[in-house]
Amino acid sequence: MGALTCYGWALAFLLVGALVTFFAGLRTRRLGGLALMFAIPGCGLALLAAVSVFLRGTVSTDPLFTVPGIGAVLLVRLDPLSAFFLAIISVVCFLAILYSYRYMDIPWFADLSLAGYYAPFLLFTCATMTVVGMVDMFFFFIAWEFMTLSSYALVIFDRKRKERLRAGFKYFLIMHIATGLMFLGALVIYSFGKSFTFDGLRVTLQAMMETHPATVHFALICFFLGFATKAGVLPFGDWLPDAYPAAPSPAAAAFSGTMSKLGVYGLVRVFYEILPASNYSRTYGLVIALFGTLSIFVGTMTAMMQEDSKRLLSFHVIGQVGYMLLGVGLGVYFLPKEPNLALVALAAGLFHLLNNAIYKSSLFLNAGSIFYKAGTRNLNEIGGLSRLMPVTAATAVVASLSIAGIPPFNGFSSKWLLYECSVFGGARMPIFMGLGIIAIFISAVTLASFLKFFGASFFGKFRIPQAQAAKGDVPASMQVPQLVLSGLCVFLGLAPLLPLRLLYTSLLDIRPQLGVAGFAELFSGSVSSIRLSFGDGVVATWNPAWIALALLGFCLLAWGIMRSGGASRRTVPSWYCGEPHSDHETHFPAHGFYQPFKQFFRVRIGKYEWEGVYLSFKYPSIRLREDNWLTRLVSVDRWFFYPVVRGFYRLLVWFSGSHVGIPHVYLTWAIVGVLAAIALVFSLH
Amino acid sequence: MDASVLILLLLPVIGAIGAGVSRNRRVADGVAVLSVGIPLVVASSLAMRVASEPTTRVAITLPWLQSLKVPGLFGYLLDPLAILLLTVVELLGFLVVVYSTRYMGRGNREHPTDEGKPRHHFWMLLFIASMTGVAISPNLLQLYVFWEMTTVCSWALISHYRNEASLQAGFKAVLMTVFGGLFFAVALVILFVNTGSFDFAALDRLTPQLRSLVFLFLLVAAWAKSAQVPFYTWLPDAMEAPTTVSMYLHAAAMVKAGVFLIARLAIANYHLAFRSGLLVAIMAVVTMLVGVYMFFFQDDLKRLLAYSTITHLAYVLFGLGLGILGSQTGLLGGLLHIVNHAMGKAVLFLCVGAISYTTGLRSITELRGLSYRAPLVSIAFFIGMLTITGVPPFAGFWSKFFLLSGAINLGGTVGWFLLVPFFLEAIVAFAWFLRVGHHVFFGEVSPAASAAKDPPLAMSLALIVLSIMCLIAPVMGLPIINLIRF
Repeated sequence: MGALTCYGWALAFLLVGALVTFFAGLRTRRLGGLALMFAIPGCGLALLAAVSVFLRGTVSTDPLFTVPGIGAVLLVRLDPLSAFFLAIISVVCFLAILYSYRYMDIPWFADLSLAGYYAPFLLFTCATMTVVGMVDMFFFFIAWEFMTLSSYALVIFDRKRKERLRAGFKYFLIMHIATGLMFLGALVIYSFGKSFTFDGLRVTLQAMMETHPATVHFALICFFLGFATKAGVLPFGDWLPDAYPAAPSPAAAAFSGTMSKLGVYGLVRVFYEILPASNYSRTYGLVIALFGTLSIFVGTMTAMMQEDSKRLLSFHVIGQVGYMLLGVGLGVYFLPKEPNLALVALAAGLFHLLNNAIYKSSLFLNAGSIFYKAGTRNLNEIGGLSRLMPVTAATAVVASLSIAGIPPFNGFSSKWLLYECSVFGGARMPIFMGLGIIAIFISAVTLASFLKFFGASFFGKFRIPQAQAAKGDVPASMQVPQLVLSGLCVFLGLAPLLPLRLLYTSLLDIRPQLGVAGFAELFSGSVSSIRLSFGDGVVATWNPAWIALALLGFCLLAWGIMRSGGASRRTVPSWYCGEPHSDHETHFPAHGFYQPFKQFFRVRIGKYEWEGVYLSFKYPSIRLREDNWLTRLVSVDRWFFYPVVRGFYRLLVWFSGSHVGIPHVYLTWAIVGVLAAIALVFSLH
Repeated sequence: MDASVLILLLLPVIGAIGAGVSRNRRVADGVAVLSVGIPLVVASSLAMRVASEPTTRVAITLPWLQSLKVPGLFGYLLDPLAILLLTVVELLGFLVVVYSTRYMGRGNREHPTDEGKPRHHFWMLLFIASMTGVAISPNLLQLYVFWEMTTVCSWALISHYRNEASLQAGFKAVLMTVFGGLFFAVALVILFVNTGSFDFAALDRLTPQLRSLVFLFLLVAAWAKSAQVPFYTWLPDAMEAPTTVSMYLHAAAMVKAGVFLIARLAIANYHLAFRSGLLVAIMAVVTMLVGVYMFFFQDDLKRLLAYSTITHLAYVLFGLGLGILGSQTGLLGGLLHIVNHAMGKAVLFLCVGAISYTTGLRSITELRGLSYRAPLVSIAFFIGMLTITGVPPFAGFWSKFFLLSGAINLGGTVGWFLLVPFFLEAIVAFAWFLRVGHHVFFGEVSPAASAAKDPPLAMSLALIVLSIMCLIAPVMGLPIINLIRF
């Protein structure tokens, strides 16, 4: 089977699956199995399609359908970059659906029909997969908006709770505006070149650059705003910390693993593929990198203050997407002048995207597992869960270390590449050096924040708000996705060259005419080591396998010392200097972490308050009184029609007064009439 | 072809009389459904055969006008535009009659009576027949005749419940639309005196000044009919009508006649002045803004929908204005929006009807959490809402996209001047409808809404069909519209 056939069938399976689960949901709540029955072939075939594209190269269809009246053509093309995202989507979405199988049984959702969950989920998977296959802006946006629609349905799944509705509303509205802007941008370019395909848009842009610079800027700004909003880049991503926690955990995992990544995908498509390398690239590269760094800083710093597990992770989504944008921005900036550096930076950004998709999904699933067992997302109310759920704890530690960028896990490899790029980019454009330093500093903040997440939930004294929790870890169907994802974290950490080769070649594949060095020239080394060069000599190396071996060796050494000393483990109650203390007094909740830091950053000016460095304010609720001048003005009835009709009526009443019933009055009227007529006739002649 | 047209025109009239005089409610229902069902089939078969070459036949002339060598006055014109409106009129007519068989019954908690049912059917079927006449009119004169017939029918239907408010609303509607109709009549006279013809294309034969004048007069008529600023005030008041009537009045008939007139003129005449197009487009934008502003004060779902209709007819006129200004894409968008809005608005009205059928209420503040009690209605409502607010892949998106595209193609100061308020209006309307949808359908179930449930089969059926149409309307509409030759 060809890649396109697989892709087509995958979409068909998911679409039909959505319909079937929807209608089955009218009768039953046991939909997980049914959804899996469609998700397995759907995601499997999509993965197959992706692998086939990796092996055999780009495939595309002939135009399937043309919209009459406008030049939009339905074209499907799977190039390696699409395949890369397709692979991520199929794996993450499948694991999330598998996870949902048991997760959705929790009593929290007992009064909700699961048709409202599985059907949109399958639709969402289908829509995200469709997005990466489109090469025509028009259909790209249709799939895009369809993705928004289905994800909105997931956000408001739990629709009895007010704050979730509010989050869903905010999400959908902001997305609608963003997509509207992107449509506007595409239309503006289209009006010059009469084509919506990526290739056509590139040709048009090339021609417009000289003649209509303002229009090009307008279109690019629209695209940037649209995609940045989806990716959750601050300040446009303000919806994200509300919407992600509102969705059920597996859905949030799928959002963070796929949807927010597609924002970056769109940026790469527009600013790398469509925009010809020019001065515009430099401007927008810088813009992207700056907003990315802003997100890194603000998102992560704010995450550190959170006490709700999913909200904490949501802020990290914002922070992490900043790293990707830093890479993409560097890449776009250096595209005209330093293509080697540019491609490495882009590949680094996308590599970070891949890593992030894995560990962030894993973390959301971990948060879901905690919720499953403990029934709360509040980190203050839980503790010591590692004893209850060792597997979840182990996967959570792997994912936490990955996101914090601790070697040898995958997060480090990509961050390392990003740092290298920003340092070497900084040599040419100093500002990138500054951005790189911020990124490095924030990496430490990430670690701090995950110490809190992990420490508060898994270490310390065992406590959960529910009266009792079932013994043992979460069910196997929930363990497997977490294990797979953390396995991937370790694997990609140890073998970074594999995905990098894939990414680099797929980026080259899109823009073959750039004239950059081949993969082997820039990334030498074996599977598990990178020797990085930007075209003139190796500038840095990173060898995760050695680090891992060293770490392992030290662990063994410590263990050996312990064994040889014959130390025995003792379990005793904590010693409080002999004074009696209640559990409550000695518990160190999430709230207690980083207190001085929080106090330092708490700012309040008037009604605006900063949550850390994050400006959080209530959207002003405008209360319009109905009786204002504008309403009065537009009520034409009130000041025009009613008075006129009333006046006319009064005139008639007055005129009917002439009906007096006295003959000679009528005679007078007749004479007056005749005289008037005669006067009229004479005056006319 | 002649026979088909006769069926289209006469069967509803015969059915109207049959349903009107029958004493048995069930017989009345049966007759009514049948006498719109058959025309629907006929109209669909006509739609299949439609080609870009219009079929015209003028059958009847008036003897006293023969000396003036007028070729003929009454007949039919079946071109893509006529077919477009015809299919909407017949499809929605059929669905609304099916729906009303249950809605106008004792099960309705808002108006628990089936007393006026034959009367309702009588006027409704006449309404459908008059709209059919509007759609197939070959010239302005016949259009005018059927145009005023729709006014009469709408007057009777708006005042259906015969209480103070509805009588007043009906009177207001008639007064304002007939006032507009006077302008139509004057325009006809000017046109006939100067060209000796009532053809749609006759405007081209006038001198530029007169052409603009006649166009302006016809535009005033269309504004009054289509409830545009400054004549929009009758439409929200007309919500006193039974919901079935409101739905038909908004989605297919009456208000659509006004925009249809302008569409006819825009397509048939090549030399409409730039200022005419600008006037159409600017007033459309003003209407949009006024309409969307009035959203904020509505608590009655039906009144909200009424203001939404006002803005959406402004969309159509906006597209037609763009077309007159020279953007063909905009014109396409305007025409397509006739169909798309019809489907979206119809489903919304029928949903509100279903809600008031089971709860007796239409108040946004009192209704909450309906999605738990009436899932079908809520899904249909959201589909309708997403359709008219233009979220892909639903129908409204396509026409909105065409309109946006048209404005951008037009380019220059005028294009952007028109585009920006249009874009803003679209966003605000989306936000407000989403808010209302959240308010009414989500959250804890309010006591008022606890009685809600999905409506009986006849009503559900209409909802389901229309929900599907909300998805596929452009697939059916676009090929027809693309046959129109400009």
